[in-house]
Amino acid sequence: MKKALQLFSIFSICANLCYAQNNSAHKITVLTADSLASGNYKDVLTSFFQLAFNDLSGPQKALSVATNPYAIMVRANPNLAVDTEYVKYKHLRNLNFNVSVLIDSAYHLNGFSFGAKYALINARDNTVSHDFLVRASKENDFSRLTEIVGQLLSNTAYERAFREKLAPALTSLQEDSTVTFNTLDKRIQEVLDSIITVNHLTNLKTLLDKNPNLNFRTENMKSYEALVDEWQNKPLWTVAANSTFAREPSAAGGSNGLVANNVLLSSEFLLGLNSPESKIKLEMDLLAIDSLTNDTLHTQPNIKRNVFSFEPGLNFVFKPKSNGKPFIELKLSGTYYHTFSTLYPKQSADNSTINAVVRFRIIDDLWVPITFKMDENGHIYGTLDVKFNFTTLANVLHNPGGK
Amino acid sequence: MATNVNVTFINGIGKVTVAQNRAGNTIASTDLITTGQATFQDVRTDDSITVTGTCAGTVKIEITTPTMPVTPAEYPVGPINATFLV
Repeated sequence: MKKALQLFSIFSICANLCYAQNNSAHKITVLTADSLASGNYKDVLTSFFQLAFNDLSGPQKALSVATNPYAIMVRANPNLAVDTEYVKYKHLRNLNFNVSVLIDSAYHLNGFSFGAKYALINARDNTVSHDFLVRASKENDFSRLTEIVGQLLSNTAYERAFREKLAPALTSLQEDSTVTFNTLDKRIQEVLDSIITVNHLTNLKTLLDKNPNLNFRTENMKSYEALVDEWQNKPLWTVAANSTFAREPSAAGGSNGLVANNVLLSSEFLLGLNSPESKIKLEMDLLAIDSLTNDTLHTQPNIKRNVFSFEPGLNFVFKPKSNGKPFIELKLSGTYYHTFSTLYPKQSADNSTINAVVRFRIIDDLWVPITFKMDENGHIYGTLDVKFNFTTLANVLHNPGGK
Repeated sequence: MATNVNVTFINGIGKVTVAQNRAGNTIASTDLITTGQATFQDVRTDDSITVTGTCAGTVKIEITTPTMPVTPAEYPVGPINATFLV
């Protein structure tokens, strides 16, 4: 447990250093589909890399990495991120691989597991959705202002020196979340105010009258982020296969080496249930698993124990007013188990548990889920995981102050 | 002079309108729905170029003539509203 806490502390410090580095630079706040996504969604399908420390407090810990083939390919060839290539690899982005190493309580390597997951339905990917783009591209006062100022810039009735200041000032105001209207040059403020009034950009005028400190970028992003959030409600259905190989002790006291310990086949379906504007977002999560595990009634290692489980659950995503980025989630679920294989003495074929998972977002991409399960006899079990999604970390490391 | 406005959408699709303005009026415009370029055959000092639209990822804009602000420049995810003075 002490080592687990040390590991967690080191990890948190590293993560916070990266975060501090990002904050100290001139930062453009960007809320992407990834930053708005729930931690539960990221656990179901990672968009880039996910590093996880699973069951830190348990006897059998696991360090796992999940990624998709596209993420690896784009590392080798960044040109694949250009839209003309990006759209071709949608199916590869819907495929996740994961590899885990298992560690016992003495931190000795005890086995490994690997698996693959594919999203049969992934309607949440707004980055390739033309419907999304059409809805996000509606003309508004901000785009009208750009067009009108663009025309004014080419009007030589205004002196060149002023126009040379106006062009970058407007672009910064529209694209940089740190630039506010009242920090602009006074004359630029007057000209923009006059354009907004004369051209009846009434929404923008109202916003500016209410708040002269208005940041155009942040304001303009609100409707875009609401649409991204709406897309996060769409269905996601994944199917997966996983296998674990673990060190098995032999009857003679030695070891049988690494043997197949379990095979898991699973299917998971996510769907947002309520309006994305709600303070608490509800997400339905249906998980079915068929697991073939070691049946200890047999003396030889095997995977003859067949247990099916079905876990319907509801994930409550609590969103702050400030930016809609979830920071805490609570998933409540129940699991029904049915054992198809030979039962152990006094074992019932059907069992059930009540489960709760609390996910805390420590920083942008670091989630800490704590899982509790209570069985029919009132026994409570708990696990502590740490999950790091590397999408933004990569941005921080490679473009610390960039847009 | 002929000028290209190269628009590159990264990590997502995008859609922009690139317009050339002169003497207070828009004299040419091109819609781009994928990475590509808008070519304006006759661009002069004091013309302006605007790029408006949306990108589901980020967008890089490069204009092959000196402008204020300078290019290439990369803009974040979401609405794109950029103005350039030649």
